[in-house]
Amino acid sequence: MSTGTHNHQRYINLLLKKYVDHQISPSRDAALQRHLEDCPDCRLQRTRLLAGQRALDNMPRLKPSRSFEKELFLKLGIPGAAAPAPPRHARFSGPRLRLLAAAVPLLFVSFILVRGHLAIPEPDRFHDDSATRSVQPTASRATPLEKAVTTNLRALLREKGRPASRASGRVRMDTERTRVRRVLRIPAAPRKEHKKAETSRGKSRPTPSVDRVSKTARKDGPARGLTFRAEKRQPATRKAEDERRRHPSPAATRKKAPATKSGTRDLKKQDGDKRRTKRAPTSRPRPTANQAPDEGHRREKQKKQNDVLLRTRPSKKMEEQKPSSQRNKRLADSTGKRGGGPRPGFAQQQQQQPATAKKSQERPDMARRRTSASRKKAKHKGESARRVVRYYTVRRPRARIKLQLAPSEHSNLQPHLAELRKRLARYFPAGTRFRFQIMAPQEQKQNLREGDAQPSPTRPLSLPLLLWLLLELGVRVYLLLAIRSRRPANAALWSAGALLLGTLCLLLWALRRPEAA
Amino acid sequence: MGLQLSDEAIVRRIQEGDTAMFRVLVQRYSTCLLNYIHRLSGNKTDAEDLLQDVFVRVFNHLGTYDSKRPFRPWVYKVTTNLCYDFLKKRKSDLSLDQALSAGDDPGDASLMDLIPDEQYDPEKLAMRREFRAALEERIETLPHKQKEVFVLFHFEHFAYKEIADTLAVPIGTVKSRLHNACKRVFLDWEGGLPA
Repeated sequence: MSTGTHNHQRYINLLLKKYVDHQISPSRDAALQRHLEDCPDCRLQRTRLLAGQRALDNMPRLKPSRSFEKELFLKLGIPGAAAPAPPRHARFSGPRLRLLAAAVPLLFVSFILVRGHLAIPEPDRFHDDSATRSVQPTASRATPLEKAVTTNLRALLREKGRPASRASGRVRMDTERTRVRRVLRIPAAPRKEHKKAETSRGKSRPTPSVDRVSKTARKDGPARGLTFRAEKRQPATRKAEDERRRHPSPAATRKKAPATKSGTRDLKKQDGDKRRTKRAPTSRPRPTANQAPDEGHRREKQKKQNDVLLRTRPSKKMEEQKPSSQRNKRLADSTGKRGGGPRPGFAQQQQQQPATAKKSQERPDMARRRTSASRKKAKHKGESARRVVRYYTVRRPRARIKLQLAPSEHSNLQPHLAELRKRLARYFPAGTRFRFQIMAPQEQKQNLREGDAQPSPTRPLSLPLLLWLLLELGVRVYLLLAIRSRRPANAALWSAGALLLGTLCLLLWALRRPEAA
Repeated sequence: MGLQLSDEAIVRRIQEGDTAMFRVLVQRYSTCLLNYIHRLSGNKTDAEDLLQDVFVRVFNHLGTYDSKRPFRPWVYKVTTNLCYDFLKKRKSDLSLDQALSAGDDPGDASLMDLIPDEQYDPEKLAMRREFRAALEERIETLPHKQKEVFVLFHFEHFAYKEIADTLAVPIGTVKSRLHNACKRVFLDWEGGLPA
């Protein structure tokens, strides 16, 4: 036992000599190996020894703080011995260098991806705007409008003895805001006159109020002014009839009659028109339900009255506002039967006022606006006249035409622009404003535009770039593993190699790009 | 500047009046002396203060230094003596438990401790940390003479001759102290081994 223990101790010493001192003779080393094969305890000791030594090698080592040197030299009082800034290569060593090595390719790849593959192509307003189109006429994407411009331009130059086969035109359509001046004529406000008539007549007969008349006139549209004045005349006519019935003197009848006849004209103007007054019938009693004249005289009177009514025929709504008995009677007289049927008075009225009706039909919105404006103005100011100036902003089509031809031909084309404008006017919307710009043909831009039509603005992912991305990914993974397994030297080597390969791949890709394009 | 000069040449220039060259010496020895102090004292927080005291003492005693002798053992000898003084001062306060707790301070573990050698395995990592803690504990419990030889040999990678010069003992004494220290640290113990 003691011999065994002694031998065991001897081999322990040999183990220490071998793995600590590294001073052991070959013969002792062979004897130790033989013993280790047979002795599990010694093998365990050897394992412990090796593990301990490895653990000692991997023991963390402290580093003095950054302020250590500064404090030390302040304590020592050594002037100028303060530590200078570390050298540049030391600033980017260790983890910083690894971080930088990882960040630079990532930034580079991001830049390439964003610029080349993932970026949305910059919108070309000249192309994308649906309202504006510009295509080289020589290219296949020329619009019919541009073809027409080119054809007319070349024809014009040919006629002027300056044929230019390469002349072309580019069209860009858009709109421009224009201020339009409108003068509105506002009819007089009838409120005071109605009141006067109403006062003189009394309230025995219902008459449409001013508001109702205005509203009716507005709804009727084209004939509203006419209707309004015809209705406006009625109280005066009735008043005259009443007067005549009470005091049947011929002079009085002569004075009041013209107002009845010229109901379609302005009241004041017609009152002063003596010529029409003379021609007016002397007596035109308005038929009422209470009256019972003899049949022949009644028919004659009704015929004359009908003539007047045909001239002063109000609109349908105004007609409806009159007393129903009177309206039915008049309708029956005009058509020969009672109720229904066409209304010749209205047709005749429209024939009498064709200009007003056409104007109102063309611009109903303007007419409505004018009526509203006139009503407001009359209401607020109480004036009868009315000329109002309105300004509107409208959008008008505009054509910007770039005429491309040789610089020597610019002066030849300049005097013929008006003629070209006339020729081109039929191709563009009515009221289009033309703006010509004479310029030299832009060969480079033409080529670019023609080239743009073929390739897509986004580049395809090329194989070298893909390989490089895969390589970068693999190397980064390896770097992480290498750093974890504490082999920074290998990590730095692989990082540098990856950078070099990536640069080469990108260089190859960049050199091949023009060929691919 | 001065990076290619030997320690002795730098000391000579300092002795001649070029005190700025002392910065080179500080940069060369600050890390290794700090770890040496840390191993000897077992206290990380006091290690930097001790290191500052070491450099102050070296600078003040450079005049007495014989430039014909190697500088490194001399610096370590100064450091060892200072650590002795420090440990003597705090001997009453520094118990083994405190030293161990200082060693178990998680702040002492660096990131490299947490990174396994080949593969991340929590069980293996825990085992390795346990083994390392036990190893440090054994180093701490070594007799001081064995400890300084052990630290100089295993951590500072001194040769026997340098250790002998540093400690002013014969080489045979160094070998025997190292042998005993290794035996106590590596072999004579119970417990598992890291995989």
